[in-house]
Amino acid sequence: MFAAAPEPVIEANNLYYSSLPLWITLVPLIAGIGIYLLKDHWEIPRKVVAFLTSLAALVGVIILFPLSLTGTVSYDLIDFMQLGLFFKLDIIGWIFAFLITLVWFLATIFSFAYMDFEHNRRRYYSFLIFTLGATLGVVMAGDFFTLFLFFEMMTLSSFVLVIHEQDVQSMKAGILYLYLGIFGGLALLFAIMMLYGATGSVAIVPALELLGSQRTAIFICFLIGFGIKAGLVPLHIWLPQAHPVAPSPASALLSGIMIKTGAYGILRVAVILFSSESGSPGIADASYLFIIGNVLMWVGIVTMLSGASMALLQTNMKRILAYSSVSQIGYIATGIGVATFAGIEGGMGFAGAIYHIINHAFFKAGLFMMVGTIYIYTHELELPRLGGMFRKMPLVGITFLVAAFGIAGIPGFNGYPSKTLIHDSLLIYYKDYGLLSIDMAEKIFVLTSALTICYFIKLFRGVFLGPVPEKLDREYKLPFSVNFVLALFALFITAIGIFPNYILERVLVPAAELLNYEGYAMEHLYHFHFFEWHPIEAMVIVVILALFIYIPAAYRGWFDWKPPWWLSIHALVYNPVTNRLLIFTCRSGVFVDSSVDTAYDKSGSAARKMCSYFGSLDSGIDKFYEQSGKTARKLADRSTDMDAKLDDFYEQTGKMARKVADRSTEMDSALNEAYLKTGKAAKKLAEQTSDAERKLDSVYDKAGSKARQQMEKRLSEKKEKRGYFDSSKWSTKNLSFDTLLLVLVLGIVLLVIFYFGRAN
Amino acid sequence: MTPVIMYSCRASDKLRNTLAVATAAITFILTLSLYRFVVGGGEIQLTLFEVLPNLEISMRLDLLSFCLAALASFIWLLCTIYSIDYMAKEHACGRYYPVLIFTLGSCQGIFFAGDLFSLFVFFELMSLIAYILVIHEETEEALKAGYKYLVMTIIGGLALFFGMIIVFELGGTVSLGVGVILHETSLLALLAFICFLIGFGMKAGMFPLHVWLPDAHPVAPSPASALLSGVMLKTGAYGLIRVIFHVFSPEMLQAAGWNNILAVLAVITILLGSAVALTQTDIKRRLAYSSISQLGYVLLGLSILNNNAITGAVFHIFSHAFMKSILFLAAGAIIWKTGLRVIADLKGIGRQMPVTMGCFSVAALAMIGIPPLNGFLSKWTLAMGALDAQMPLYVLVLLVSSLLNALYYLPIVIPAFFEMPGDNNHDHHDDHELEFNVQEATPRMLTVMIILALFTFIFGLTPNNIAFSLARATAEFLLLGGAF
Amino acid sequence: MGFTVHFPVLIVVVMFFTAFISPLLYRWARKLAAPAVLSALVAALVMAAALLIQVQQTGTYYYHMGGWPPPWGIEFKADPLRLYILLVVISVSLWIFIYALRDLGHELKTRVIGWYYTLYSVLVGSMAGIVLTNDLFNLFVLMEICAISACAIISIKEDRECLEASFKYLILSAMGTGCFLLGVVMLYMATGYLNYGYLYQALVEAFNFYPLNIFTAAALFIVAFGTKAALFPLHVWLPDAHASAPSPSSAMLSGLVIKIYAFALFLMFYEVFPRVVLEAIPLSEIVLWLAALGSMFGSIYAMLQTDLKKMLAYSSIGQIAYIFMGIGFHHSLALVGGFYHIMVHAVTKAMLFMVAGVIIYSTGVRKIDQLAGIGRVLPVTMVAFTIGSASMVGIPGTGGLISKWYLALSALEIGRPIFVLVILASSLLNAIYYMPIVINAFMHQDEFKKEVKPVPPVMQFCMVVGMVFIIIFGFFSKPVVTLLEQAAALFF
Repeated sequence: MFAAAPEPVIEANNLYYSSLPLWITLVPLIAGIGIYLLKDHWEIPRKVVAFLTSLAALVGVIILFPLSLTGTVSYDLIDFMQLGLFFKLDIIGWIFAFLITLVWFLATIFSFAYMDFEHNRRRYYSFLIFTLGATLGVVMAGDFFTLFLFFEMMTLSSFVLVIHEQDVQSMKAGILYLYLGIFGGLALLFAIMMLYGATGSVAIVPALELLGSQRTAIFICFLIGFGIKAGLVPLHIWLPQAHPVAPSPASALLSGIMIKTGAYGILRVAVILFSSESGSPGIADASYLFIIGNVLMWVGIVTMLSGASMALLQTNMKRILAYSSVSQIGYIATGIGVATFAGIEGGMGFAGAIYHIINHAFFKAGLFMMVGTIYIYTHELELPRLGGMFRKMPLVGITFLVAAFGIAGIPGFNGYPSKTLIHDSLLIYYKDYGLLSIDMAEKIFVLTSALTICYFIKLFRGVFLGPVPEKLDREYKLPFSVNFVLALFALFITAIGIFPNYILERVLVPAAELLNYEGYAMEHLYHFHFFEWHPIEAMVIVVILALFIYIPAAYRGWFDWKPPWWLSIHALVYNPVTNRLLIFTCRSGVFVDSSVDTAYDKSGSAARKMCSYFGSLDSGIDKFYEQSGKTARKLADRSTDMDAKLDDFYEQTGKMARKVADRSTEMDSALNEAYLKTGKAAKKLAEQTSDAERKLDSVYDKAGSKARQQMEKRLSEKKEKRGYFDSSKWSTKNLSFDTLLLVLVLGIVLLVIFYFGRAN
Repeated sequence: MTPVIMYSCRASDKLRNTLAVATAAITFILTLSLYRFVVGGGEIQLTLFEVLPNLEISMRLDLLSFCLAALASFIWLLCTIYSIDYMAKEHACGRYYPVLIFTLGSCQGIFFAGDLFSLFVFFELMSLIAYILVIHEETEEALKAGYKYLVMTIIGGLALFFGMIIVFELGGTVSLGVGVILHETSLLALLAFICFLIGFGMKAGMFPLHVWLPDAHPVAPSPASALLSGVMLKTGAYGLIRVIFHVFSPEMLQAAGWNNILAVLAVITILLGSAVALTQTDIKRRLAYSSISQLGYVLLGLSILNNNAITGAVFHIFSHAFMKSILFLAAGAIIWKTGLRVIADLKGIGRQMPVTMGCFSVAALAMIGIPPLNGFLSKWTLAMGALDAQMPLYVLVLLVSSLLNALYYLPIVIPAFFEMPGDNNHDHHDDHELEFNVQEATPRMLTVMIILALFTFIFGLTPNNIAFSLARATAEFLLLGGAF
Repeated sequence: MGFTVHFPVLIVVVMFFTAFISPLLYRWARKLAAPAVLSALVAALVMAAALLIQVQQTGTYYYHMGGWPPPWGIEFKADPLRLYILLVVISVSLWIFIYALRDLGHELKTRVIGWYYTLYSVLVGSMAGIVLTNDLFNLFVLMEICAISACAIISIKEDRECLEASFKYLILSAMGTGCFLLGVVMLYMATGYLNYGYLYQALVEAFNFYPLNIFTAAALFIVAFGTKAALFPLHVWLPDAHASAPSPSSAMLSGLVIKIYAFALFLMFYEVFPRVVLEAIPLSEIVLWLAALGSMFGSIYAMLQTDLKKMLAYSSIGQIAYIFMGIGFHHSLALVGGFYHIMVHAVTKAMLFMVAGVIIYSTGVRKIDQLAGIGRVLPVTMVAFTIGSASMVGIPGTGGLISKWYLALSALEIGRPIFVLVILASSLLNAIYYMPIVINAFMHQDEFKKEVKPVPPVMQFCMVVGMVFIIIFGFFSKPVVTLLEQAAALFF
């Protein structure tokens, strides 16, 4: 695989084809998976594999140095995922790759000692090495698609590193990290898609003119995507939570390396993608770049200041360092911003940013490991409960001091040259443009540098000076690997600090040349002297300022002030916004969904109601007819009553007639008396006739009562019959209704027909 | 060509299972055997018999049919294998297997239908038979969901009928083999389009016709839900493709702007599905809502109507079939083993069932659209299609829904691996009961899930993999009016 | 031609003759009674089929009773459409009769079974006559016979409800017949003819002189046939009558009898009233809207029923509306759809009533909500019910779809898609009341509780035949449709 490298050519901007970048990326990825497959208790093989892999990556990257210095190494996997996987390593990428592999290698060695105290080592090493591959992939990516792919991979695999402890706090931090990472990834994807839509390719090449009207949107999306990873304010919120909870070697990598991938992305976007194809942008484009650059610079400035101030107020060692990382990323962003707005004159800012990236990797990774060393032996991260460690672990103390000097920018240590470069570039451009904003930026830069020194004094005092707490008063014996790694970091820091021009000339200048920077700034860069009074003077001012801030503040205890929760950006912006958004999405979603559901339900039940209404209409009509049937029956009953009354009436008249007959009988007897006087014969006759009369009468009587009985009998029979054939149960009621209906319909039909017929 | 195979064997469980798997396998192999023919550009239009004058049952085989038929039979095969273990605990297997295979047959019938009428016949057949799968549990809940499903299906069927009859009236034929049937826009044609939208959209879970889906899918047995979500939803999308390309023509739809109806509904579907999925606490319900939003992608792709978008839509049909099958099968395995359905109870399950949850995680990541997996590729292609059509808004919709995907899948995955069971904030004293003492699912179930998970990798990773190139070819075939 | 010339009248005569002998046979040679009716039906079927084949070859022909030519003689007409209906009537009757053989013993007292055979034969004969006759007076007579025999096969069960229902039916159908007679009288007054063909020609002229008479006659006809065929607002007698009758009678009444009157109305519209009259007054329109309302309300009422047979009866009201729609659209495709539906619905509804009969026979259950889980104990029966309901709803693969297809197509053809919606909506409603029964029958958790008598094989056989035919109608509808298209073409 190494044979794929062609013969070296001295000229710059050569293209070399080599599969080495692919292998450098792939080997850790495969090894990472491989480690996971090893058994839990195979400690030694696991360590060996991890060690060898990180070493191999380091060696591979070093081999590529001459090639990338003189040109670009690229490798193409056509059609991978339909879009092609494209590796390209130029000198800028190489710087990152080298840093990554080197720090990773050291962190791996450090882990051997550190992780012996931790659980779940198999998962840790596996993801550690896997993340190495992904991170390398990010910086060796030749186009944005490949970059995005590895970026996502890195986010996911480093998530496992963050939540390694699996306690409540780390889970919370990890989940925040993951969600923000995915959100950032999607912003990135959106940007890439728009880029692809606008230019038809995802290559990292100058394309300012091609981007068209969407360029601001693209830039913002890129900035969000990479800015989250880099920890730019206000997207940094995950960082101070996630970095402290990870195991120390992992936090060293997170802080020292991984946030740099975000910076790397911003660099690629701001300096390369948003630059003109022809080298010098038109006036409109140049002013556009100026705006973008200024925005970026100010984001950087705000980041550095707020990071530093927050760091001052922390008492947790790792949190201080995490906020410090935020602040340092601000420096880098400032440098990139300066490089962007200055166009082709931006070589100085560019070099400063890259230089600071290198330096920050060393001292921040070193610092995390030192703090980690203290933590692993004392199990204490809070400053007030620590102290006097200098006596217990002198080596750690010395190296810490060296790293702190580095980050503070003391001449002779590595932070100094990079900060000087950025600072100087600000000064130069202030001279060029004379803008107030740049002047302000420069002032804040100085203030932040002073604050940096303050919080490191605080940190150093808290950890290493003062009395040793009783609980921690015992002997500590550090293993060789720890000492070795820490010493190595200190060595790097001082080496760069003492020979700052070596890196500048060997690496940074070629990188700047690659991007065709020219003009005054480059001239300045070629002959930059770090150890002149002018740059040193600035540092002296900073140190004095720092002392002026620190002494009174420490005296009055300002640093112990804890900002209330409601002041934090979480409470002010993120929590309400995300909560509201989430609640809004869920509520509106559920609302729409359930309202559709209920609409269906309602319409269903309404339809059912309608049906039952029709049914009730039917039965209503039925009832109506039943009622009418009943009334009819009542009517019939009435008529029966009348019948009976008539009957009575007749009976009455009958009785009356009888009475009349009685009267006549009486009259008869009176007559009889009268006749008595006339003659006995006549009387006898009369008596006989009256007898006959009476007999007849009784016969009639009997016949009448018989007839009445018969009538009653018949009546009762009739009643019985009615009981059997009860008309109410006999549903003639419906019949009458139906007949009526029939007639009605007939009528309607007739009406319709006649209406139309007449019209005809 | 269509293995509409029905069998029912009550002889013995083992024989029945073997037969079921064998049938599914034969179907799959038969379908695959057509590959060479189809890729060579072959088409078959075969009339079986005429039901009515100009109205026949006919078969058609082209690239699109092949794609979906192969997909369906493959997923079916795996799900049938999975069912063997899953259903061992369940009742009424004698009903389950024949119905499962019969549904496969009618599903294949849909894909191989040569005209709208046969499509309609098989569509109804499948929908009605699938009802039996939905209500398999026969609980109160299942019956209710099933009833909803049935009513909606019938409404959809009637809408289809209406649409079809309008097409027949206007064009004189419903065959898919004659190219475009309707050339001119008219009110009736619009009515037909809307009817098709209702009919097929119902099946595809399109807003506002999705209401049956989140009820019906969760109550079915898991392999059946996998099929319902993974394959049967796709028949709706398939029908829409056929309608868009063979009844109407893309140019005509675009000129008339009717595709915008679909687009708007698709966008709402995507967002709504994702948003509501967030609020679900039952794992299978969450998956069901997720299906709604995923089908929204497919519909969105269909509404954009350009090469990339169609490719994306067809490919998403593939990828979603694989992803959602895994998710349902894995959820099924968990439910099968532990009986737990509520997401909050699943903490730490990843330790007990690492392989199952691993597959679940892979599919979930693919759903979110994490790069090396197939979900990303389909989203990418869809987004490219949207950008080609100058609609960055759609891209935004896709990404927002991806974010929501992340928000509802990760809270399942992360606690499953990284939290201890019983880590709940509320401290019930019976928390300890939640500690699982379970083993992995059976090897057969695991194998099925692993195969599917591998495919999500393969379809995502390998260059010009078979699914993608098929999707690409299909899109070209459709856009070139390949129906002649 | 030869002997087949007499087939039209022979069919009727054979049935009537069988009616006379069957009670005698039943009394003296009980075993021979049923075979006699059966063989008569088979003979009629053969004759009808032979006629159809012949008519298809040689075209329509007229049969003059006793050689007397019209307008004075009685005329029978044999055209493809009538013969198609005749074939449907006779074959379905044959099928129902086979079913009835087993079921009657359960529902009726033994002594009346012989009379039942008589009534059955008379009913079939009169229906055949109604279909074939070409003369209004003849039609009137046969309608009366048909009505009385139909009443009688309801009331033969001799329980209270049947008596009541048949009484109601009798009165209403008598009123319908009365309307019809009035109409006939008016037409006769206007023209002096009763023969369809002569009327058709004479009415064109008479329309100028007696428009009011003719309008009134038309209105009376609609009401008369509407009552008899249970067109929507005139349906009130149907649910009671069909639901309370013995199951074979219900199957006959719902499956065939009401359709005969729909067909008669069709003949009035297409063979009696000339185009001029129909264009002057919106007869079709009235029928159409009543049908549309009927198809909705029939289904809605059916939804509210709790008694299985009552539900089926209401469903018939909805389904007959489709046939009326086919008449009302006034389009050849609609005729195809309507007449196809006559066949499909005859088979389907008859089968559904058979299913109801089997359920009552073997479990005694009539209420819908008691049917839960019955699919497990009576699988064949309930599968038949499922397929029947699928056909009612219009699920593809069943005959119901084909008729709906044609109806919907013709609605579009005449530019009234609203009726497609009506058709679809009523299909949906059908689904809503049929599906829960099916679901409950098969999928309910509870086991079926009642005791179950085994279903006799004859009954099962009949249901299987029904299922097979419904599916055949769904897939292989082409020959019938072609026949109908040819027949319908004669009218346009």
